[in-house]
Order: sequence, then structure tokens, then C-alpha cells
Amino acid sequence: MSTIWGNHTINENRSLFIQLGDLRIWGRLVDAEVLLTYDISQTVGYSADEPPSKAIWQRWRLDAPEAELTLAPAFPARPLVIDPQTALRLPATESLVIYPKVPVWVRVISPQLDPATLLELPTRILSNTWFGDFTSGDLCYHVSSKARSTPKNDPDETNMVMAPVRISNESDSMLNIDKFCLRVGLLNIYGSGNELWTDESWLVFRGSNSDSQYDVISESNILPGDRQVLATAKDPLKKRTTGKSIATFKDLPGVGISIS
Amino acid sequence: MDSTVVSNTVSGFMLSEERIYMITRIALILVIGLPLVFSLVRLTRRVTRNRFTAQQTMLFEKLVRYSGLIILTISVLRELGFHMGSLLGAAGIFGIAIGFASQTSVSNIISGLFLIGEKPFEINDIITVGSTTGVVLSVDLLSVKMRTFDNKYIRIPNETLIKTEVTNITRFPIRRLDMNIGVAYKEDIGRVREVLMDIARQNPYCLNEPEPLIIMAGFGNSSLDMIFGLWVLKSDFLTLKNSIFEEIKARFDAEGIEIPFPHISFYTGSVTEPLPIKMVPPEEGDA
Repeated sequence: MSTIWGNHTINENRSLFIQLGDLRIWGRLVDAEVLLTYDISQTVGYSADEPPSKAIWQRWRLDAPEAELTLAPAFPARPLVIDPQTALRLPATESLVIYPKVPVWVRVISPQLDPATLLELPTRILSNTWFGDFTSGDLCYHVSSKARSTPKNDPDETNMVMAPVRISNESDSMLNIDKFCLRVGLLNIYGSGNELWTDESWLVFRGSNSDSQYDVISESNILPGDRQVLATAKDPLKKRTTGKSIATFKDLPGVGISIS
Repeated sequence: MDSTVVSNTVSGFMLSEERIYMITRIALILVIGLPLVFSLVRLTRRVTRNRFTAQQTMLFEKLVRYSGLIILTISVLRELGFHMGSLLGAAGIFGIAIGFASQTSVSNIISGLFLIGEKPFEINDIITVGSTTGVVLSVDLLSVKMRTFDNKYIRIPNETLIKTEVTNITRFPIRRLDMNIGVAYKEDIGRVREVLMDIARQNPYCLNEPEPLIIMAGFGNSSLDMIFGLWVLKSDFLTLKNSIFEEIKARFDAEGIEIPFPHISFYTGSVTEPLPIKMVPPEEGDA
């Protein structure tokens, strides 16, 4: 299991420095106050001792000689739109499993404070995107991922979570998958060795005139057997849900725009 | 002193027992009734707030408030000895009389009912009526109240709204910000397009999908004109507008892309160079 996740104790003599992806967090305990600051950028000139001069400190009163800080992986409150870079074509009645990797968020928790969650930060700045049409839809983050058909571990990508997705085409026509929506609020996050995994998401496409079916499978056999729960789903799925989850070539938002 | 008259005096007036009972009953009606009505209004707000829109919540509140106040008024009038039959008869005659004089109000009320039914906008929407843009504060039977962005309170009669074109700016969750951009004729359009798309990608408020649009608008007098359309969440519209212009200017400067100002070139013919201009210092004695 990665040493980042779990408890970190800081005191007047021991500070905290964490780097994960583009995110760096500095933590100190000074004069009975927990001080935290962070930087999310691809800059290379930084020091573990001293944050950038532009960094803004946040502080919490804590009358204790030591502060316990717990770091846990998390997902944002918004869904993620996965762009598999190359469009996928899935014939009728076929099914496939892909393994997109998505950046994880970091939740900094102090059990000594109330509310306990001090910060929740992305490990990479993602751009906003819209999943839906011009009159309704969801604000999401955009993630570009190769979405391989076999899981591939990269030791440098410690901030990435493997999010397996099974897509079944139960319609009677070819499914052209341009993008799909991953509702990460429904997913648990697991640790397995140095890797992070989520539950398996299962999207069932039943035709362009019908909503897709969305399900979460926690006991999937494609997940590592030695996984341990690091974070539970923010908004666990109580029953199978339906909704738009797959964007095909036809209904790409942006097509059909005219300027008067 | 008569035994039926109570010896109490209030401000010098002699009060009969019957009158004291009447005042007590009225006081009880008001003391119990008014807090009850306002409690019911608060309860209605609490119950409807999470289930209905702000507009519908306000309608329910007003319905409860005015119904309660009307019932209280009728109760007090009855205690004072007014007969409701004669009051309503008088009100009918009075109503006919003022009906002729209040056609505008009636028109506003009917327009208000249409507005409430049709729902072209709701409370907290941002609308433009004529030259006025603001946030809708309330949709009432007679008028719509708005707050403009420079914090003016505007009342627009419902009849005006029914007759006028109303633009609801915040009806849909996303909006497009269209910018007119001109670049010098010498610039490579393909490169300008790439730079603009990169600026959009870097801006955190600009939506990745729907994709930004770059449309050539024409050959202007001084520049190649294009429209740069960016999609944004409605709540981020002003933030994007503020940031993107700065980013375009800074990036164009860094990339050496010229944003031309209006200018006129004089030529002596289609194949000649522009007329040379030589600046001559003024001679001595010239004014």
C-alpha cells in the first residue's frame, strides 16, 4: 500500500510534505494551529521545506501538542467524462471491458477537528465539460484516457486510479462510443499494492432512443483480490439506475451550432 | 351609576360589559390569529421550499398569508357588528364603480395569471426586458420586481411583460460567450485558430464540450474578422468574460499576432507600393 494514504503526525518539529501528481501539500503545526497550504501545477522548482511564495496558508485552531492528519483518496462531487482518445466501436449484442485511468483527489482529514475534512484537492487540474444537450445535462470534468482493454500498471502514475468499465451493447446496431460518463460518486476506492482501483462500472446501451443502464459491481472478478477499501463511495448506488451515460457521434454536443 | 355599567373607565370612556367582551374577543382573535397565520406562512415555506421552485414557494406563502388575513379581517368585522351580506352587496356596487376606473389593474392581474401559468421566467432568473437586465425578485399579480446589477429596484407591470419581448438569460444551464476578434491580414489563420483553441483549453471556466467555435466572419476594413464562441456554465459567464479577453491579449502579444486598429492605406495603383510619407520638421518662422 502506498505510504501516502493513512495517518501522518505533525508537531512543532515535524512538518508534512506530500507530492502526488501535480499536487503538493505542505503542513505544519505552529502555535497550536494546523497550517496547510498546497500548489497544483506542473512547475518543477519547489522545495519540500518551503511552499511557493504565492501559496496561501489555511489554518485551524488545534490545542494539542501533535496533529493527526489522515490522507485518503477521494473523487470529486462531479462525474468524469472519459474521452478514450480513439473512438470505440462495439457491435450489437457485444460487450467489452476497458480500463481507463482517472486522476484521484486527495482528502486531508483531521479526526481531532470538526468538521474533520480540512481539504479536498485534485492531483491534476482538469477542464470543465458538459455532458448532455443544450438545455439539460451535467457539469463534469474532462479526462482523456487511453482506456486500454487490459490493465497496465505504471509506477510513475501514483495519482491515477484504475476505473474498470464494462460496456454492453444490447441494441441492434453498432455503438460508436465517443465519450462516456463515469459517475465517480458511486464508486468505492480500493488500494492494492501501489495501485488504486475503483468498483467496476457497468454501462448497458439499449439504443439511442433509450436511456443507458448504469450499475456498480463491487464484487467483480476483474478487481484485484487483495484490495482494501481506502474510501467509500460519496453517494452509493442503492439500485440500478438509468440515464444518459454514453455520447455517440450523433449526439455530440456542439454539432448543429449556428451563429446568427 | 347603573348596575349594568361596569365602573371601569378607560381613557375616560364608560365601557359596557358587552363591549368589554367584544374587545376581548377581537383582541383574542388578533393575538391568537396573527401569530397563527404567520406561523402557518413559515410552515408553508419550510414544507414547500425543498419540493417546489422559489416562485411556487412564494405563491403558496402568499396564498396562506392573504387567506389567513382575510379570514381574520372578516372575523373582526363580524365581532364589530358588520353583516357580511350587506358588506358584500356594498362591495359589489363599489366594485362595479371602480371596475371602470381600474382596467389597467385588471389587465395586469390577468397578465400576471398568464405569467404565473406560462412561466417564461422564475424567481432568481436573470432577464432582459427592453433595455433593463436584472434578477427577478418576485412575480406578483400586478407586477414583476427586479434588481438590476447596479442595485436598482425595478417594477415592471405584468401587462408590459406580456406585450414585450423578454429574454431569459439563465433559463438553460450553459451559455455561449461570442467574441468578435480581428487579426491583421498578414497573420496565418490556421495558427491564430490553434492559439485561440489553446487559450480556451487553458481557461478553467471554458467548457471543453460543447467545443469552442471559431468562425470566419469576413474581410473587414482593417482586419480579418472572426467570431470566437466559448461555452460556459451560466454562473461562470462573467468570470470567463473577464478572464478570456486578458488571456487573448496577453497570448497574442506573446505570439506576435497583431490585433489591428482601424487604418487606411493609400495606394497609387494595384501593383504599386504604398505612397511613401516623409516627415519634414517645420521650418523656422512657420506658425
